[in-house]
Amino acid sequence: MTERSQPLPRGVRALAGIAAVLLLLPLIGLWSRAPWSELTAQATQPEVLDALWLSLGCSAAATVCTFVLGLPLAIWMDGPPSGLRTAVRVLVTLPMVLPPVVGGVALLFAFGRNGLVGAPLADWFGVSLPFTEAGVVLAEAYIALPFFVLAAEGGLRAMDRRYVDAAATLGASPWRTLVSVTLPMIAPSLRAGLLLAWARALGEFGATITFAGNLAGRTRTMPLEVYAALETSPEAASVLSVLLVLFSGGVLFTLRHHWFPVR
Amino acid sequence: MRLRADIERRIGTLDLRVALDLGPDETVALVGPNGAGKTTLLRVLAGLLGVDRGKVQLGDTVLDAGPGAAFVPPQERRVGYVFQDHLLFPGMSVLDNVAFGPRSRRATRRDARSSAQTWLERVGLGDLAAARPAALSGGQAQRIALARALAAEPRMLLLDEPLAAVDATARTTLRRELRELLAAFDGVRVLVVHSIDDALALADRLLVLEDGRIVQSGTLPELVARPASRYVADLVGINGFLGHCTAGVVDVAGAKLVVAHAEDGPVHVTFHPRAVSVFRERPSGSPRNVWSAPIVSVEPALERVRLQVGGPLPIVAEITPRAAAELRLAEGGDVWIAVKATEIAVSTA
Repeated sequence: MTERSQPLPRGVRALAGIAAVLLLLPLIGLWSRAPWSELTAQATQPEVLDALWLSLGCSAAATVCTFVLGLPLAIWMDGPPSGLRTAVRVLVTLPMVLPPVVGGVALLFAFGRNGLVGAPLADWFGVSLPFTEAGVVLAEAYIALPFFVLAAEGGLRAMDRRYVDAAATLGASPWRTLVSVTLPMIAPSLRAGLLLAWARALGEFGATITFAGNLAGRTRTMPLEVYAALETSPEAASVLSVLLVLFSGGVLFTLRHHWFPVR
Repeated sequence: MRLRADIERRIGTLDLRVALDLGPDETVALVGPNGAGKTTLLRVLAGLLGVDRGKVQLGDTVLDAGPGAAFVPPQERRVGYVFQDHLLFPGMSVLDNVAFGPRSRRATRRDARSSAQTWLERVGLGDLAAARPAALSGGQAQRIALARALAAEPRMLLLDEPLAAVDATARTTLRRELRELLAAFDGVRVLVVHSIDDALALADRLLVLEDGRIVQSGTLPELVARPASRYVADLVGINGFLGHCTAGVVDVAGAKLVVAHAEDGPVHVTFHPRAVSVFRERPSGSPRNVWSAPIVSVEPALERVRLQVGGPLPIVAEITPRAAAELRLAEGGDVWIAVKATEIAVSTA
């Protein structure tokens, strides 16, 4: 059976085309200027490899933090509506809409050497987060957290709650119900949330450079490396950019069924 | 183990107020229109909802004594609940679904699986152990949901419309199996059913719930003999009204029925739909009860046609398809209704 769709209003097609071109042009620009012959040579330079490993390590660590802290938060947020829940929802969404630089500044005032939490941390434990790998992880986790929490909460919200009831009547403790019934049922949302959070952490720039600085081999992740390379060698910057585009595109492709549901 | 419950619970527009005293030796069918509170009642018994006031007690254990007082959460109640759409966990095999209860009670994986296999065989589906719930038919899923509930060794069993998701051919078989499994279960059994056939086949007693209240409780013959409400009369398939008898004439909400009954006072009047005659023109002759009424609906029912009319005395008549055609019932409009006084059963209310 074929469905006949209604004709589109006049002009919509043309404007949609302009939008698509707008999205496509930067990619074409990048593609045409990338020194394809030097790709492997550029990509295997020590500072690029350092940045790559740092990026992968920090973003993976940030994703783990996001999962460990974000899942309980999502479960709590899924409870009955209340003023507190609304306030927390605003708080969770904030890093998503805030300019990341502002997030970095805020982190600096909280966890910096003279910050609210940072000062006692440094005085009592000798722990200092800014300008360290841990600082990169913190900045990335802060920015990536909403992506995971909102995806996980959406999954919980869409789930048929009576499965939880069924598990309870069968004698399962709340923990057992969570681990063997709820989490498997929302696994697609959790996977999507984790991938999104990881991709966002990997691409993080503003909060990282503000809070963790731009120290080569220590806190200079891939996006920061691209920025630094742009001043000295635009070719290297374009190679790194191509790598990041390929990676992000790969994530979207993996998630295509989640983003582009088949009608 | 007896179930004694005195339940008050408001949820949305429903105000549930029910007192129950159910023995371990009987299967009770809960019937009632949609929104009457049947599922809510089961949820309260299972501990998925608390009472606002009252008490739920199973044997010597108080399960729920109201807010701030004793409350046993569902996972500790050992009340088996079979949901209407079975709710088998989609990510687990059939065997793991049935083993879920024993596993939750800290049985080893091995013991839980062997007990699950035994239960699967008892419901006749031992060979489906490795199947995924999505691959099952409605009847199979329902039997496995029952096996899953029984494997958790409940002390009371609640079934919410166990036959709803099953097609007509599988229904008879499933009904027979359900009856055997229910009979083998030692404890209180409550099931929500929609059809009187299911109630008759599975239950010893019916509880009729309307608007959050139990309007009638009894065996099917008791309900047929004396339906307490319009809904019950419809359910058991006869016309029944509550009225007041004065000198052989029963007043039902303003409409008058001549009956063969001498005693004055409040009465139930019932008459079978087949005892109702239908005409297009006003009939002449013996029937004393003749009135005109608009046609509400005409539906085929097995080899007969069920005609529903409105007016002050809304009733159902059953006539042959041939008569229905001759009367051109499909065209609607008004018909003349006649019921012989001797066909109307009257009992003191």
